[in-house]
Amino acid sequence: MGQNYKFTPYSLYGMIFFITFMKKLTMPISKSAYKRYKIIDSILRNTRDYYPTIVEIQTAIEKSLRQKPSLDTLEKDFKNMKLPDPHGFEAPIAYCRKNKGYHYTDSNFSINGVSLTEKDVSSIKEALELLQSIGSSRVSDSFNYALDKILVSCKEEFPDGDSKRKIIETESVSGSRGFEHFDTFFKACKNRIPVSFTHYSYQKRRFKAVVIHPILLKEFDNFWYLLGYSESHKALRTFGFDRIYEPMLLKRLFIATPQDIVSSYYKDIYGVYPIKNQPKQEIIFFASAMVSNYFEAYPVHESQMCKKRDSGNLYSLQLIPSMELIKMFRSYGSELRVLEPRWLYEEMKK
Amino acid sequence: MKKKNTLLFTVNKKGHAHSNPDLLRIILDTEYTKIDFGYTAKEMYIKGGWIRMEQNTFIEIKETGKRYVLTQAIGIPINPEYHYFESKKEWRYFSLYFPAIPQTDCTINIIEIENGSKNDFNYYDIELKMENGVEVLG
Repeated sequence: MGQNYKFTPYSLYGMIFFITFMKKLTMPISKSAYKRYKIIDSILRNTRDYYPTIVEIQTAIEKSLRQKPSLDTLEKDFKNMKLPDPHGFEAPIAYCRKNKGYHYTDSNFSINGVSLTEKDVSSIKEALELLQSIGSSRVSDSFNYALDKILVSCKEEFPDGDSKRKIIETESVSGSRGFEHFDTFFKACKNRIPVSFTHYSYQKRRFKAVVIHPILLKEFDNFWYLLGYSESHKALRTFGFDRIYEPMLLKRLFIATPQDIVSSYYKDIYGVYPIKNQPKQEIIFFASAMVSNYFEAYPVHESQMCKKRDSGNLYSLQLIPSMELIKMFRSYGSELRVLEPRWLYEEMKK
Repeated sequence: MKKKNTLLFTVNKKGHAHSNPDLLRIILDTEYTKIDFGYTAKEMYIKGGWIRMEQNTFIEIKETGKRYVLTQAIGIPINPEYHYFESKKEWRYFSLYFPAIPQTDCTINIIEIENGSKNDFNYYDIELKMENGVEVLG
């Protein structure tokens, strides 16, 4: 069964804010450096008539972090904070000779870029908790790194959270083959960049180099897939990350697939790989009373209908048969019997 | 035609024998030539057999006769090393690097062993038309 995450409007808002904020944070900043930046930022934001000296900033950091940075380090921090986006924050730090201290030349500047309301903070924390829970092996290294920085920032500004306590746990195993391409595919989908890669088909036991015009990344049953328009197939195709080698982004005109076709592509299928030449059709199966509990709780598809019997339930689905559907049916062994269509009944006996 | 930094050619060419790897892509960079292959272990060999490349594997440009000798192999060992498969169901993706060849229309041969047997990884008459190459983004 697929996993559903419920978002409140606030958590969605927080997620959007979070993603926007993270775009700025792609440079390799260490956690300790980022903590110092935050303190420097908070001091320089509140100067008004006060222009702190570098020694005063050093003292403030020592007080907050219980670690005294060298003056050289602080000068480097200033330099890094001044770097343009995405390597820095374009912080308008300047030394005021008249007042003998540092300040922001733009008094409205903050490295956060925007001040947060309580609702913002709450929704960001909600989104962060969710991301932290599904994070680790599920998202790319750079994403995790950015996430770390957000968490560092969050802990500093909102120290009430017990972020180490895990509230959501999802199934994920680190080290999945092909997952290292997540960033490349995400970028390709987002920016509509054609991509070349070589693909190994488990079924055909054959390699093939393909050019794909990527559309979306899909997770099903903890496996990740890329959906795109394949030039050689002249149709939409789904490729498992684990079978993809060396994707390369191409400078080539992107072939866009209409959104309605994309939206409907996975609508009537359980999983990602449709059985060849099988249209959407009625599938009828009988599930034992015990197994029926699961189908009642987690419907396979929105078309699922049920006729209750004492010995179990009779279910019908309007679906394009898929490899994943067959796999799922088989996982219930003798507790589930396919009745219609006939070809699927025969297939299940193999 | 304007020369580009890196051009990618999708080839998908079978070898001259059933036991050869598939030649998948050729990438012409101004500093190197990279050729990607995919090999599926064969049923006819015990536990899938083994693969390796000869050190003197080269690209030959038919029009000029100029040869470019292998500089690096990724994913496949060089003779006298072997990669032994553990089963007939395995596969291997690998890449061979050669010096940069000119980005001009040409026909190339990729030769592991000259006048070799069907078991050697030789590929003949691969046409590279620059207009079919796609520029790779850096």
